[in-house]
Amino acid sequence: MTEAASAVAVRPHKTPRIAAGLLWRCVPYLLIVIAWQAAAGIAATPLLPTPGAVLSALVAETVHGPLLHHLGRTLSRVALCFTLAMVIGTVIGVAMGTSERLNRWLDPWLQLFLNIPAMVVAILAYIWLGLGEPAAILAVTLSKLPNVVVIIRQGARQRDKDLAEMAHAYRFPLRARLFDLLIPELAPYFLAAMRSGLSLVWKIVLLVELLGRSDGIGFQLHMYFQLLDITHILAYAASFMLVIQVTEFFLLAEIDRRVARWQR
Amino acid sequence: MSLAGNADRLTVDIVEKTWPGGRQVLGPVSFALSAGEVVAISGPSGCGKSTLMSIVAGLDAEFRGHIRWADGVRLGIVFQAPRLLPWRTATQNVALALGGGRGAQHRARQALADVGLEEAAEAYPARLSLGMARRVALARALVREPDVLLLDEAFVSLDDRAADTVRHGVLAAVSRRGTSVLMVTHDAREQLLMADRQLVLGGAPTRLLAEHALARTACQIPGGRAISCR
Repeated sequence: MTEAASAVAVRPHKTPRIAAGLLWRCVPYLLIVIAWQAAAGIAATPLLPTPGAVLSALVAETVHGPLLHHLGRTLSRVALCFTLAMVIGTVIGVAMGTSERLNRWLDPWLQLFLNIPAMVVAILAYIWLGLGEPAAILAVTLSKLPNVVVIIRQGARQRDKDLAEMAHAYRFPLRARLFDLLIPELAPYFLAAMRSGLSLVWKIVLLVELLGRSDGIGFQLHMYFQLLDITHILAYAASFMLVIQVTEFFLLAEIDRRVARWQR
Repeated sequence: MSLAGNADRLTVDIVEKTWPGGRQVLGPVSFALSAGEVVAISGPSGCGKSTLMSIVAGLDAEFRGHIRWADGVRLGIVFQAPRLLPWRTATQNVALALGGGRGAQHRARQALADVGLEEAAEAYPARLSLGMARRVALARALVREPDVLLLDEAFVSLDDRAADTVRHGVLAAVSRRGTSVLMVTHDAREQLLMADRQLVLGGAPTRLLAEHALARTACQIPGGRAISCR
């Protein structure tokens, strides 16, 4: 790890910061792959394929197989559920954090949904709404929603009353109250909700696909599980984790940087 | 646009203000502020001067009494703490007081230059000293060309030169536009320098104890009416 770090540090003017960050991020994964290779070599069983076997399965499924189709299905579900949960959760969270009365009314519901396992929500949604796309989207969104509400509610409670008074005294228009006050003030909480949300949503999407959809990474995992094909299970899982990591690195890190720009 | 006439711009008539716990913080406080008048409020620490300012500014409606504003009065306010948006630059903070309309950025930069901060125009508040942040807050109040300016210990923690720049800015607004100023200050020299009238608060609960006429001692200069000495 240190050698890689110093290799980066030697030519800081040549290496753009983003590439250096990417390199740093790769080192722990490289160590995982090395450990995996060693374990697979020692175990020598089809139950633990080598990284090379998984990689070739991944490439074959991407180029000739249906991986991209299933990945696309899963990603579109993740994107839709994530967006729905963030938008609805933010509205409810701000409302609950601002009004103590509303909070008293809605908090029991929040506790209820926080403590229902995602699996139960998914099963109930499929039974009540049928084995279709709306049930899948609803189940995932409902499972993520309480988490967003809790984080944003906390943010809304911590809002600076002095700044709110200032905005009132200066008669800030609604647009300014929203984009210059509320959203920047909630940005760190929004980012926290996004971070935890992204990892939570895709896990639940996989579960929902496994239970009741006929496409997506979750469906494929279920199929290869029945075939006991560990190589393909790992290939499909790896493809998705890779996409999430890249999203996290490029998208969330960029938002993070923008949010932190004004800090000392 | 300046409001015409010498009629009172602001009439304050507070009967009492009690905290939710039941403690009465303000008793009877009544006064009026006319155009171009600078009124200083003094009193011991914690006697409720900032509470009075909040009531006057319309930020605290939980009191018995009346606050009457003349029609169309534009308000500028400088709080005890600068209250700048940390995620907006100095210029953006000032421009927001104008509602962000066309030319707001340009006027904001001009207002910052007027308080001697043109070099800090693009800085975020975290990079400013407290004194600089206070001057940004004052620029934000002045950029609106207010008819009434409320200053809650706005000159505290400024060095002499900065305090002078800021007083100059306030008095220029008073002479140019006939802005009325209601200021809380502990500084006797500042009261003598700037104020036409002094209101003394005190007692328990706090009430208006005395009212003194002051002769603003700020120097006269050609072209303007009153500009601070030095």
